[in-house]
Amino acid sequence: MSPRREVPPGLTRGQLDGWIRRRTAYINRFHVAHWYPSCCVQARVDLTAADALRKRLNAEDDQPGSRVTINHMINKAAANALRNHILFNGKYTRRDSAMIYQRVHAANVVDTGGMATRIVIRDADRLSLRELAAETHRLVSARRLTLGEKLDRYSELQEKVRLVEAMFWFLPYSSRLERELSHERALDFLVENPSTVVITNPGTLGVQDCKAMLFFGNLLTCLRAMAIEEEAVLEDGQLRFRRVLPVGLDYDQRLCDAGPAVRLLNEIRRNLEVPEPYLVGPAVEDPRAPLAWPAGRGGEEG
Amino acid sequence: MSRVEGGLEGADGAVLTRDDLPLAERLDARLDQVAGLRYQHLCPAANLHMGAALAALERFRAEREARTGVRLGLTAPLVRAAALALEEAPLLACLFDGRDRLVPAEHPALGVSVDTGDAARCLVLERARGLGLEELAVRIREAAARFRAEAAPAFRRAAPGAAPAGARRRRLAHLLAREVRERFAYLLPGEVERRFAGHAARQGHFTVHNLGALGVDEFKGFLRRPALAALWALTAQRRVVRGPDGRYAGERRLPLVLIFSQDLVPLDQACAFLRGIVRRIEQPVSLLEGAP
Repeated sequence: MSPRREVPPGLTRGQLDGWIRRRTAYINRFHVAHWYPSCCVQARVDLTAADALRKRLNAEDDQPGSRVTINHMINKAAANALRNHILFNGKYTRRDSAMIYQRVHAANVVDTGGMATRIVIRDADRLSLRELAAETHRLVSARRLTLGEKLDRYSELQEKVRLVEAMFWFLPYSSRLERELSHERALDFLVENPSTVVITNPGTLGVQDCKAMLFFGNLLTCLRAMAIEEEAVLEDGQLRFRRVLPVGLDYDQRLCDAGPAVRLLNEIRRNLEVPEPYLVGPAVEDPRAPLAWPAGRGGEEG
Repeated sequence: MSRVEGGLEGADGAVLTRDDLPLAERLDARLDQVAGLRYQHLCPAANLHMGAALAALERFRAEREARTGVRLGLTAPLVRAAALALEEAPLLACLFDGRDRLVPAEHPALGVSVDTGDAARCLVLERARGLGLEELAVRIREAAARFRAEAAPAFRRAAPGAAPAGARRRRLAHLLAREVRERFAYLLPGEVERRFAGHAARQGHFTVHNLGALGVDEFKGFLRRPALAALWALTAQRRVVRGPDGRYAGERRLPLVLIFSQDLVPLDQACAFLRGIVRRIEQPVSLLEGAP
């Protein structure tokens, strides 16, 4: 007898079945042979200056559609830092290869109440902080509006797929065989995703620490922001509390060592701790940065 | 070169070949390593975290440096503590031979990872147990300077020149050969053993990584076989503690992370090893045990 599946409130049985079926497809794709080992470095960012900037920007313009949050600042800090560490801005194209992109398209994981989805902010490094905040608000609202409808349509489609599978029972086996024989296919199906880096903020859900394997599609890098904490510090013998944000960076240690990853993380930290020059406007490209996009033909902006 | 083979994509969507860009060359060399690291080399790694108070070690270092004139730094005491603690947990210095057997090390060699600004390189200290603190400090400093001087400016920004004649053809041949080699090599008997051989000479039986200077508060990683464990030291953190007189005071602590193969190393051995290092850092006189 199969165990009874509890249906969480807010989801219909059809939606749940559709969800499980969709995740099963992911499980099949992520065979052990496609697993990418990742390392994670983490730093604690002092939010004093970022908080002050956020309050000032929101006092100047308090429209709900363009309010700046810490989440937007994290996205912007990461996109700006990637400009000088372009090696982390890419995807696996096949199992043994990777593509590095000049344009930074940041995928932002959005929790929509039980269903995580992602929005993609194109050219996040070229937008100003205010523009990035407005774009994020717009995309999140649009995604929340359409997600329920999409899930309903997906569930209806699954009913049809089930019928077809019952008629052509051998199809799942043939696809499984194909997966075993052709490992590059497993990741190619995600190539259409336009994002080049993923930024997630489980901190909004209260998560204090987490470590994820690089399973965000075929992206090389994942930045995680955890829950903001109050940290005690001693200043002139006086106990004081400051807000700190733990930020983690998942990277593939086969593609780079800890040193370059830590330098990227430190640049993200600097962007957040010294926000005025590095965070408000478009990214400041450092000509001395060894991991910036190569000059010459590739450096020309399209 | 087709897009699926990897490379760099510019803002206009044009794929840049590897043949004329230094960054692309560097990426390509790295991708060769990716191809050579299949899941046979990975193991279920567990991360163990502990912290060591640094106050006693800082006093000990200052006193010792004043007496000998050799700057000790933090890496040398850490390596010395690891070498001594390995005696209490010899399993951590074993290597996996690729045929489901563990090979113990009679005189473990310790690897010390050095950041060269581009990639990490490893200094291997043979018979590390017999090296004194000052000798360790000098050898680590000399090796770091040498590695950094030798590091090629692989990520230099340079205007691309014309690709040399035949470079593209050679590149494609290399890719094809790599693809064929890596797909079928593991079917050959003894291939995994062959790849594991020489690890002790390249990285030592046990590797110590010090990320302290880079500014890392936390680290979680994985482990490549044939090693069974590796130690990572992070940036020293200052935390507020209440002293015996009831007043608040700052205390510097060194976070340590031991990554070990969960299927082969029992947790108690891993804990004993890490506790051994913490004890020696907090009571640094014990670092002189058995020193030449």
